[in-house]
Amino acid sequence: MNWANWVDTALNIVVFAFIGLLARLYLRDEGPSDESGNSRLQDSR
Amino acid sequence: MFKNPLLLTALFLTAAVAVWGVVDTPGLSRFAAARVAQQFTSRAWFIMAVASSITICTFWLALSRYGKVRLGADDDRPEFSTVSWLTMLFAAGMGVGLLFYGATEPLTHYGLIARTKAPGVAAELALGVTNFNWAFHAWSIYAITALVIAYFAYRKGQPGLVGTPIRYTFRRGAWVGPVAWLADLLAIYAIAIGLAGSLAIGVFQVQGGLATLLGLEESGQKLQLGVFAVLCVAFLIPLTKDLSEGMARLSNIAMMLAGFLVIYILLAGPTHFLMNGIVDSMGVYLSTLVRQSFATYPFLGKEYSDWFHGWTLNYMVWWIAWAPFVGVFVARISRGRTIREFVLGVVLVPSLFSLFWFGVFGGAGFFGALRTDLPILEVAANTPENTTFFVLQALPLSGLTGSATVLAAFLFLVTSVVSAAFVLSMFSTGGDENPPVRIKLVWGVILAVLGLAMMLSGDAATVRAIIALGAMFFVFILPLLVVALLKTLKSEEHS
Repeated sequence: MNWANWVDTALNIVVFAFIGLLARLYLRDEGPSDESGNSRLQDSR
Repeated sequence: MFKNPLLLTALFLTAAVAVWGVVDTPGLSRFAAARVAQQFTSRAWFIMAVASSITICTFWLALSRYGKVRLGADDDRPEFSTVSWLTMLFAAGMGVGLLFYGATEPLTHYGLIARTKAPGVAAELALGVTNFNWAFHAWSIYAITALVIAYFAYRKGQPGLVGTPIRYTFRRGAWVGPVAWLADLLAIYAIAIGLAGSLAIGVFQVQGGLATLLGLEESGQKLQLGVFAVLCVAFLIPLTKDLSEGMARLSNIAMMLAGFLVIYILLAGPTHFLMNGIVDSMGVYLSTLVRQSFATYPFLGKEYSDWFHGWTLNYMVWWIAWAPFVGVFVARISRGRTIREFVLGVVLVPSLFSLFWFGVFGGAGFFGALRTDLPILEVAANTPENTTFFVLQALPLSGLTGSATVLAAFLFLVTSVVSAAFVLSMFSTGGDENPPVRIKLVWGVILAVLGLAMMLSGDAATVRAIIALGAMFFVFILPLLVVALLKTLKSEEHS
């Protein structure tokens, strides 16, 4: 494989990993909001 | 100002590109062309998959049970009447791009397609491809970005920033804060580069118009620089004062001029031919929509892949670059609407308008190419910035309509830059809806220098490559925002 082919493979592997990450983020349980210490504010409703 | 790392990083990044572009324009152009070619070659499938998935997801949201969710509290009602809202969406959909590409884009596609198809069929397909580039996909990308901003801002009471959905939805992991910060930065970067690109293309358009109207065809870059200088004065002054009402009025004037132009061409030109073209191209668009949504042309050789990269793929990235900018505006005017009415209004109305616009301008171009001896194909190929004016010259009152086009392009540019400087200042100050004048001015100056760099690159194709480079990383942020929206909608349903 030449250099350009390696770059092409690497660029696509990043995309595959990103798609896997998106699926994992969608499926994972975020847990209760108030225990996260995150900047989540109260709902305005 | 100096205690805000996001603002400083964004200013540094965009200023660095601007200075690079002015000092070494060919260097930036070469770099952008090479990087974009590599990204497009390796990731074309991903960009088309993202754009088409977003389109499908947008329609699905409207038709699903989430369609009833309101962008605001449950008892919120829309601030604007449906007619005013749809008019404002028209305004958001209008821009200098339509004036520039209205006639020239279908004719450019025709130049390639006509090599293998009969002229009539090639014209139909060329209009169909143009419609594909400007209709549902473009507006779905805008709609979903606006939907994400509006949902988290008005229903969840969060700051109207691009990184907000990430911070709000994904609560575990040390990566959340930095990635949300990066999303804010990349949104600012994409808006600045995208807007500066439109600024350059708009200057080409105004220069082309003035050159045609005043017989200054040989004036070239001097006239461009003159137009650019006047433009800079015109948009820097409003940034120092609160002229939001005046800007809205200028934007309405530009919209009315553009509306007048399209109606004039329809009525003064070959009306039945244009109307047949509009209806016919809608049919071509709808019947080829699924095929086009997933077309990446892997088996047709370099000529087709270059064409695909330079047009459809570039547009998809361009819409993504503009999405945070248009998204903020559309979100602001849509508070209190349900997701269903939001999506149907934001996607269908401007898309139908685009189909009408290209049907009229493109149809007039094809009438010239197929039914007369006018050298319009050569004009579109060699001086695309003159194509609109060439079409207008074939009709009566060309001096008046040409001047109206120049004025509309100029007003679109001024109002876009003023709005962009405001949105950039808002994003870079943590969502401050009244950002300080000095920050708006700094963004105005950076947009001007970036625009100058792009203008010096010389042609619209290079400008589009630089825009694509600026927006490339944001292609990864948009799906993340959509996942955040879907996940939060699901958890809201269960809570």
